[in-house]
Amino acid sequence: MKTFKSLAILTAAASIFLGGCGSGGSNGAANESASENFPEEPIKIIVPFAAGGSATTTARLLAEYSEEPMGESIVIENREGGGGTIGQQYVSTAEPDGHTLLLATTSIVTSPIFNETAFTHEDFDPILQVVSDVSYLYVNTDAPYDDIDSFIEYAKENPGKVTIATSGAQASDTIAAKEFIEAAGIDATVIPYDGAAPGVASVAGGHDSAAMSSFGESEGQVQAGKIKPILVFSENKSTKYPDVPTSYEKGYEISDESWRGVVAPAGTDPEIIKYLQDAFKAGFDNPEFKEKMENQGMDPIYKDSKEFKQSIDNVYKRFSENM
Amino acid sequence: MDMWLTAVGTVFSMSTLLLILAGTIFGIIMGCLPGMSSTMAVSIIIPFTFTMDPATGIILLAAIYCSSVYGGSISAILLNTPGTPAGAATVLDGYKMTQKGESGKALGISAIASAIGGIISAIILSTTAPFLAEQALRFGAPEYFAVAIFGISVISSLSGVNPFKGLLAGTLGILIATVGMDPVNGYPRFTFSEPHLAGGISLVPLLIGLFSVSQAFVLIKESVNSKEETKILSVSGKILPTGKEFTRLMPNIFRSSIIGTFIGIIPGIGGDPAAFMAYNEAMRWSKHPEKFGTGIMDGIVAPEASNNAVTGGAMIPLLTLGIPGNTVTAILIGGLLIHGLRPGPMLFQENGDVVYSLFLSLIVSNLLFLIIGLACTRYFTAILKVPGIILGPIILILSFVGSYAIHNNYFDIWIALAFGLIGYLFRLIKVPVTPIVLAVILGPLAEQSFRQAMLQSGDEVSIFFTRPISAVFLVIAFITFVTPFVRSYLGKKKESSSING
Repeated sequence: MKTFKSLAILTAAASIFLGGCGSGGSNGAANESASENFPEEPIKIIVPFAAGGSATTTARLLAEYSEEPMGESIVIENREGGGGTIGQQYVSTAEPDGHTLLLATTSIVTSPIFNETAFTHEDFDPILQVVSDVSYLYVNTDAPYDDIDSFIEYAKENPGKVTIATSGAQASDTIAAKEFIEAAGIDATVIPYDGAAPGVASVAGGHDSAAMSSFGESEGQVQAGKIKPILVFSENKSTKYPDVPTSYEKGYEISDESWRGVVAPAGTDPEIIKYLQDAFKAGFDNPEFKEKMENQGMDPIYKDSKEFKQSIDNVYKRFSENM
Repeated sequence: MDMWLTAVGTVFSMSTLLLILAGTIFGIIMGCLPGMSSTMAVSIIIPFTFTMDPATGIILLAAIYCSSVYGGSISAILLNTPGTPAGAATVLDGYKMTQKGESGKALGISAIASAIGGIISAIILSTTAPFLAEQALRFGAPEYFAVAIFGISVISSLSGVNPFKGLLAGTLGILIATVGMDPVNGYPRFTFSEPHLAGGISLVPLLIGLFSVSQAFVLIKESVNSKEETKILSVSGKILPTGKEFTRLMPNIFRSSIIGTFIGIIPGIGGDPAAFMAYNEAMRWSKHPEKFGTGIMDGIVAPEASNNAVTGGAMIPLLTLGIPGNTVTAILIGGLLIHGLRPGPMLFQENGDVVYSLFLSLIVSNLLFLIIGLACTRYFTAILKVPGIILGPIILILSFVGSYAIHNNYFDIWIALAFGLIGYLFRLIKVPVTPIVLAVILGPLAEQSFRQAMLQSGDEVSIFFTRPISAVFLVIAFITFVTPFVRSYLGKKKESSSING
């Protein structure tokens, strides 16, 4: 009886062992061909902000036009909290199999710098950038200066009087404004607001001297004749305002943009990254996608994973130098 | 005009109308249940609106707000218990009419007066608010600071009997508001390295905790303690008043609506005093003041027209300045914020479509509850029989599901539970919780705009007093803040002198 029992146990153990080996073996095979079979299930893009914002819109539109080339459905999930850190943290620790992605904004770089997060921007592998909203400097149309030269002249004549509104304490335009003040050699104060709109309104009402903002956030007040752009923080001429000088033309090597893109957890198979990049690129190239993005006031600009990585590293460099 | 056309398109779509209908029915049910308030009804639904587009979401919340205020009169008339605090004045004549066997007519006239009150205030709102909002660009950082201080100063009058208890709660609120990112330097404060706190304590779970969860605790406790059945008289008699009766009541309804709207505009007063003020005015203007309190229709239409008119009035400071005039509008701010809409003068420029859809939906919602109220009142009495021991857990489940759903975040459930306990505790020691909400909402605005203004002026405090709009708001804030203290001091003095004399 006893021997029978131990035999039974032995057999059971053996079968579990063999079974384990079997499944282990097939797992190994699946890993090798992971990139070939990808995607195996719906792709999830985590948006770390509240539904309704421009980050969510970007993700939803991109998903809508990329599903077909992707060959799988793409689900958008809002995981808000901690100023974006909750969703970012979630993706940084997700399985790097390409099925859980993050809609990334500048805050994947700035959150780790300001807050004690468990991740840094290096915990993500860039896939592609889809939006780049370049920053402009806007001034009130009734102000005693009407271009960048007279603005700087005014600031030099009135040291300490000039204020520049920006879109937030952790936003990259705050850094750009500080870089600009230093480069132009003026005595001015940077005032962070909660988003671009209140800063723009403050300039439109004549309460601040200038505001850093993007085209989409400011065009309403520009159309209303309250404010106008005097400088674009870019190497290239703006397509929206071709007459506005660039910072590089004026001798300031400062460029500032707020970008949005898609990233995967670090350690994702490069072939999967390539697959995702190609599928999203196909969605990006759909004219309807571009049209809808532009209707929302966003500038659809594509960068591949390598160029996108440069954008990310560049923000990191500027912030760590300035904070 | 374009805005109105867009609004017509939004409001008169089948899905929106159905949603307003659902919201109205839900609001009436929540309103007529004693122990449920408009505040709770709105806070519990906020998480469910965030998948909707902003206009639809806020329309639903507004429909619930309007109809729950009306719903409060149903239990006031039938049960002798107001369903919402704002219905307290309706009890006086409403229940008397029920005892006389005229409950049908009492309910009918209450629905009519409520709807007219609501519609008049919605019209006043939609004509004056856009004009006020045109002043938006005059508001710089110093003005926003002054307005926020004005909003916070209301705390002393909100707190009822003891203004010091209000201050206690308000201080706690300001403390809560400092958690999260420093608005100027960008560094985290009081987050204890907890990533969930990096963006501050989330507003909606906090609201749900303070109002819904704590209310569920109260309901469960009360239903365990009391075993007696409430007696509900069934609806009897005609519902509609005669044309002659209606014509006679019109001046009263109209006067009460205007009173309600204006009381609504003044932050910090709210529906309950508005109802009593209208009742008093109706009595003063009446040829037969002695009949008030014996079960006459005038005694119902005055408070009902007035407390429903408060809804539109209270939205004027909410939409144009971003100041919540009462608890429900404070919670509506939460509903706007989850859609990224910050109430205040800029709202009209940036999201005019939402604002105008809201105006229109208020009118639609008032008409809808009038129809439902007249047609279905008999059936609502069944809801009054649901005991608290069943209702309490339902509210708890909805609260926790809602708190989680809003950010897909377990941490928010803990926030709701923690604030549920705080809310319950505060009820036990009779400290009002509304000041917490006001301070949490306005504290960050006050801090950020104060620091912005100081940066603009180069640390000159005079910037707040040399700019006219800012100075005026600060003076009003001071008066608003001090009045209740003076009143309570004078009251005590009078008391002691009468004892001595």
